Amino acid sequence: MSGPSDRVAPGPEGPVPADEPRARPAHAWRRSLARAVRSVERGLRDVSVASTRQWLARRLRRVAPTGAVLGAALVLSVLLRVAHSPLSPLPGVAALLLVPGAAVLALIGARPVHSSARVVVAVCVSMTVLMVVGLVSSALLPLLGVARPLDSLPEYVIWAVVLLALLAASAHVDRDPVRWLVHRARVPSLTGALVGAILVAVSLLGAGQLNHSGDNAVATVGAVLDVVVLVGCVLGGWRRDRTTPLATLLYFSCLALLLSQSLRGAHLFGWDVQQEFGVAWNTVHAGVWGVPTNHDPYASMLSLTVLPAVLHGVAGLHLEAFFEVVVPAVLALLPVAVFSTVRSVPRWITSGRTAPIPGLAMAVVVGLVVSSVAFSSVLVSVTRQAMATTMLATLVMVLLDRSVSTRAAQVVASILIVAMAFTHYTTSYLTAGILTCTWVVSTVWMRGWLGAPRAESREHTRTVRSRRLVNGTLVVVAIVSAAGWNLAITRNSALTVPAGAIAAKGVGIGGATSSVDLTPAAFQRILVSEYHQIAPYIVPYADARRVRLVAATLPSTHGTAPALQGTWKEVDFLAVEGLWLVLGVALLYGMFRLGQRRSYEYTSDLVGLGVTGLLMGALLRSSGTLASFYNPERAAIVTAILLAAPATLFLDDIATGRIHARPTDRRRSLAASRAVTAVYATLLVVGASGLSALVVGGQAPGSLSANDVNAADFTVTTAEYATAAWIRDHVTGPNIVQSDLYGHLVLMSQPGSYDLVPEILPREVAPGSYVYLSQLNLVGGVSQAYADSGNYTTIYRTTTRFFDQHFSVVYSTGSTRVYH
Amino acid sequence: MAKVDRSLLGWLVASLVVLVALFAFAPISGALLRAVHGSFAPAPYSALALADPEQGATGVTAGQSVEVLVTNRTGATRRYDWVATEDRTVISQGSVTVRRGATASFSVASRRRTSGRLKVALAGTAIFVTVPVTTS
Repeated sequence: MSGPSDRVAPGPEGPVPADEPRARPAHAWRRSLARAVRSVERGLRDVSVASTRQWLARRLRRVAPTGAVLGAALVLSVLLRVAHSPLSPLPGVAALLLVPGAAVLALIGARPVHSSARVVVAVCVSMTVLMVVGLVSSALLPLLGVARPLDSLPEYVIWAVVLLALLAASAHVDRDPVRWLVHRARVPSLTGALVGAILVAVSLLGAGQLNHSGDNAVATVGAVLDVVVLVGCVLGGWRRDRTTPLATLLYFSCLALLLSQSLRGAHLFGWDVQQEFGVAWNTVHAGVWGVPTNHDPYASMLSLTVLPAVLHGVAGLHLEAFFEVVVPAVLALLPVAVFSTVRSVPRWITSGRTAPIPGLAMAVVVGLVVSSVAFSSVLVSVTRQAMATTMLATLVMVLLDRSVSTRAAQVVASILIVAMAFTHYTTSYLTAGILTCTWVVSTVWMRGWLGAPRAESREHTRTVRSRRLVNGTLVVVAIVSAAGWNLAITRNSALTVPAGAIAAKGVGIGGATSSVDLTPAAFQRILVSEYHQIAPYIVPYADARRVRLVAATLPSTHGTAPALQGTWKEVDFLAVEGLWLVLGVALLYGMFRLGQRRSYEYTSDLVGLGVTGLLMGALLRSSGTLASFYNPERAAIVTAILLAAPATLFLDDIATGRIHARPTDRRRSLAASRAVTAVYATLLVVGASGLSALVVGGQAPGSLSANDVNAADFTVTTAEYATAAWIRDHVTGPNIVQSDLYGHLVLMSQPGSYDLVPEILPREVAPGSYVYLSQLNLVGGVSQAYADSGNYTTIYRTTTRFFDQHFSVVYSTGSTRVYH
Repeated sequence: MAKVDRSLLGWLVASLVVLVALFAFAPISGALLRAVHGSFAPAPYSALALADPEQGATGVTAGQSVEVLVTNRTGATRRYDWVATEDRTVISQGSVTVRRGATASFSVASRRRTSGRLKVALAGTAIFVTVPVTTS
């Protein structure tokens, strides 16, 4: 996944980066059309002159590499299945996630210069093709008598036809998809592949060991290796003449970090992912996707329904494997997309500046993206957003990648924008907002109202207008696709609750953006008042008032040096907050130092995306109301994606001494920057990986601990999963199932026809309901409750005695229990 | 030309390595997981359930039988000893052999003319079910 060097070659109009695209005429599409017409004419002549066999053979030869790859994937899948290998779906999944996208990119003519960037775009476009084909087959085939088009047999036929059509189209334009993808790519380096394989292998072993024995030794070694490789990439990439496979190492170290979490527990790790699994499970068992009648936003997303169902039907991929392995493999492309964006000079900048130092670009990605809370611990269990955020990063990459022609970039951007609408509703609305704001800001910038000297205003406007990609068309595409899919077609309720909250409370600037822990007694008062309004049908037992709740604490890691905990917290806080300062200063630097003087040193797209990123991050960080629905951590990674390029340009100017130093001081500046950057990146990534909790104590992440609150909150045991399946099969509506916050986790992945009330405080338990106690509730004796959409939480001793007195045990595994 | 050949050779070697890794994955990963005492296999468990969960709420009349299901997910055929008590007095006991992955059922009769709570437990475990017993 490494591409050519970014060194600058002098051009006829001064030095131009090596990856500068060839100039395209304004009406390039006319030439393309003429070429296509000539190609058809040639084809027809060929038919008339040569025999049909020769004609076919010639065309087949044009796409022989892709045909060979698809054939190899098919044969390998069969052989691995015969050998009962757990990897039997891998060749099929890899082919489906690469070939359709590569074919579409070849047809469009979009080929980023870096092979890592090509892979990222190909995967995102492939996912789009998979979802669209699944949608079309679900809509049309039932009309032709195929009731379950997402089952294996119909899917085999559909994908044979789709792939043949793509091959035929590729042969027609004489662009083989696989050759298009690996064009001028170096053979994967032995070092990169070997290190990557070791990182992933250690990560798998660590998760397996934690799951089975609770020992975190291998998981700790794995996390340390990931950190060492990432920091090593920062240091090793400081010299431009080195050929370190940075993108490959970045991908595999991120994949290892993500797998160490996603593979924890006997089922899926995380909160949202349980409900996402339930939706996918329903789609696979229905064999067809339809607009959900209950307006459920999850079931409205093709990324959670059609995509896993197609991969399940065609490649035989288990649903759990989709969420545990495929989604992390896609999410690990996010940092690679950002790295591909920032490692080159952004589109339109023709001032002759060299590409940023690769190690510095890597440090920006490690600091802003890999070390963010969202990437390291949230997105892997919010799969719809993981896929959509990767698409957003790819969209920004395509917009800023100078090696992709303007027209092709706009087509690919439009495809990604549309795909986001049915991948994740929030990211789709967010993208529409981002592009609208970017367009407005860049228009202001273009008019010269901000920064450009008055005398140069007209020239500035003319230059900027010809050098911007985010235009009104993209904004319209974004708004129409987001609103069209979510409000007009599926009419899902994703906006209902946030809109209601804003109407009731306002934006809530300055409100609390994280949960407040209360004592059980104080909490119960809030909850009882809330339930009187939202669940008046619950009439508890009379003696429930007499049950006294006792506060409880959850186990945490003691650490090898707990005395350092206070110092570490301060350092970590400053390091993370410092990032915001860097982003803000970088944007101001770009706007007022670079852009004010010469429009070819900075672009309106960078200004628009940067200002939008900062505004959005600040709003979601300070709004208590919005934080309940889209937490600031998830917004921060979007801000990082939008501001990574300006930040890299700024830091590169500091590191290379372009801002301040005399030429003689530049070497010293470079060395000092390298040391500071490496230390900063290490601080951030050690905190994000959870290694700091093992040293100074605290709540270690689920990937490094078997007992801490994160593991307890987000892992599911075999017995819990079996109990949830029993409840699904034996409890039907209008019965009520009640569980605490922990128990709620697994019940979401096995949705039944019953009503679920996520509360088991005695004063909120209805007589006659089914009460589920998870392993932590029963064996650990701890329960957790939340109120006011998660704004208030409490942890208390499980009131098992109350349940024993009033209910019977109807199901039991020893570590879990169902009362009725 | 020589450069093209080297590149082709490189891709061929890379493909072969991937091929070998694909087929060697299962045995190697199994051995490594055993070496570190790790596993992704489901944890073994046994479960006890009322055949009719509604009996948990409605109860049974004294003297009536309760059907109980025992599920074996321990990975091997297993004999389960069960004990039925009513108000801490043992009223019956027995055993049932269940094949791995299967579910078997057995019936337990409650005491005549006595109300209380019937508890059926697997001996030596915390696995049990309960049913209220009424006299009318």
